[in-house]
Amino acid sequence: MIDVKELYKEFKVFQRPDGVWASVKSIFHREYSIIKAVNGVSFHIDNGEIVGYVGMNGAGKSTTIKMLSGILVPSSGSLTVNGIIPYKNRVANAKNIGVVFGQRSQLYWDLPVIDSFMLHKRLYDIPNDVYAENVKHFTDILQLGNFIHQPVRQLSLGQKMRANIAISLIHNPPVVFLDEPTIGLDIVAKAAIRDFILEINKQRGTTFILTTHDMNDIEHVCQRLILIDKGEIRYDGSLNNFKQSYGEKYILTCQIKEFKAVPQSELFYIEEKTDEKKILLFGDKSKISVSDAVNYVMKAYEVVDISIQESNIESILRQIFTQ
Amino acid sequence: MKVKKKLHLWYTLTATGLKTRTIYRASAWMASFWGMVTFLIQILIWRSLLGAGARFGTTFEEMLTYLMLTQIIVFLINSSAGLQIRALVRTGDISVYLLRPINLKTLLFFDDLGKNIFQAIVVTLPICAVLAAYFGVVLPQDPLVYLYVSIMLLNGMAMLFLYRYTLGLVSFWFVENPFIEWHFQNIESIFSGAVLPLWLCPAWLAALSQYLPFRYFTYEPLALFVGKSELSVANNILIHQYIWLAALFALERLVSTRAMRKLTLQGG
Repeated sequence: MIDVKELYKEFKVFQRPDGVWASVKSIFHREYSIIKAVNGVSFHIDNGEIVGYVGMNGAGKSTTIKMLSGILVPSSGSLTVNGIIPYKNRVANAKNIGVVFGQRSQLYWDLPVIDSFMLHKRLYDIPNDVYAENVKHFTDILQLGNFIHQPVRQLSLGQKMRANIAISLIHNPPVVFLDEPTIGLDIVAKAAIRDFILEINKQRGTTFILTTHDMNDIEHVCQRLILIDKGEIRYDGSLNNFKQSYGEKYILTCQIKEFKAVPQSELFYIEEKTDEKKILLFGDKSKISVSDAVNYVMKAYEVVDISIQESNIESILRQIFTQ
Repeated sequence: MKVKKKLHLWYTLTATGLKTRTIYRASAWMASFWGMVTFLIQILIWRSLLGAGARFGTTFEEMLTYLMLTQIIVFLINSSAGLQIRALVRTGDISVYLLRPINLKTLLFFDDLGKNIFQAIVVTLPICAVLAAYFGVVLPQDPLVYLYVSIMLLNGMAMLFLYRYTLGLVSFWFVENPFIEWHFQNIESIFSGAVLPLWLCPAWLAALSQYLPFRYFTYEPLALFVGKSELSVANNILIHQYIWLAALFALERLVSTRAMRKLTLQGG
């Protein structure tokens, strides 16, 4: 289905100099630096998988998605989507995939949502019955009914996102890339989108690759997690294994009266939030129990309030990325 | 069946372009209103210059016919492909366009066509008809002239689109310099006879225009229409149009492949 081998993507970036003279000089001679956005990534994704593709900002998630969509040409390495090499065959690849860029809209800004749907019907040459069924189905589960005839510019962020997700699936693509589909949405809208992904996956066996910063998305929807950091894969495997192999983690959030210099310990990691007068203690039950950690904090600081958060993906990732 | 589907797609793309143009009614009407005011001023200047009867080898009616048709045709074969591409590159929305299973040129061409049909036929044509009825225009008698003019105008439209589109693609290299395109558009409007008919231009300028494609966009067909050139040279003009069309097409292909490569190397 999706096969990526030793994929590299480098960008040449113009170093804009400071100062007037330097910028005049840069007209004649420019200094470039090379950024390795994707640095030797390999993975294989089978039909019907829902994969969370996770990493910090600038980790190379969107660059990978763009290469899979045929918008970007890799610097080296090989990739195929449904047997097609995306950058060599952009139009053929486009017919087989659906893409949502959470930061951009595929809908015509000035026209009602339904007009963009109609345009996609022609662009993707969707048979009448399939189109009618999909519009009805998506309208029902994504609740597009009360705004489908409104111009896109009048819609709320959540409505726009739901419409964008619907349009990316209207031609029944076997593979869908969702690049931050829940960005900026409220809890209800996020839940609707997660349920929709699960339902389509179950009904049609559609493969989803989901990038997101909301770890609840991953926990609700994905079976598999690919973790990317500075262009390299740090973890690729099932979500359960990930949780287990990274131990039983927890976070103590403590509201404190004042900060004191407290030495870090090998048993846990403390992050100080000076402006909020808070400390976060990232712990691991295999090293130190929750009660011991609480005792430690109570002794070290004058604690006003304390809350305990059991391990979830977010806490694990935070620990991996902040250490 | 395949042809029918293609036509259907083109129709939908054109209709979408037309619809987006009709959304902002107030701005469409204001643009037409000021367009007409400028046009009217032009007409009045020519009337006072030419008065009754012919001067500079031109009658007022010929001039008016030329101006009016130029106006309609400029709207009809207008292309904002260049501007659109620039905006798409700047905002990064180009990546959304590249997700669609269609080439960018086709998409922009029919979008332009839809917008142009609205502007030229719904807005400009009726106003020109009123002005024509009031001032009077010259119409050719020979049906062959209509046939030749139609073919030439279709060629001219294709040429202008290719020219503007190629120019727009150049913005991949000069994202931060809108003036490049602006200079080229000024050259275009002078040498295409849109500002002043070429038969009134200084001899050196008219001579120079022979070596450029611009006069074949609208000037040549309209000169034939108002009787400033003869049917005997019509075939010769068509040959020139086809040669230029081929050259522009080749240039567009060359620039297009390079621009796409650059774009997909840099990222949308």
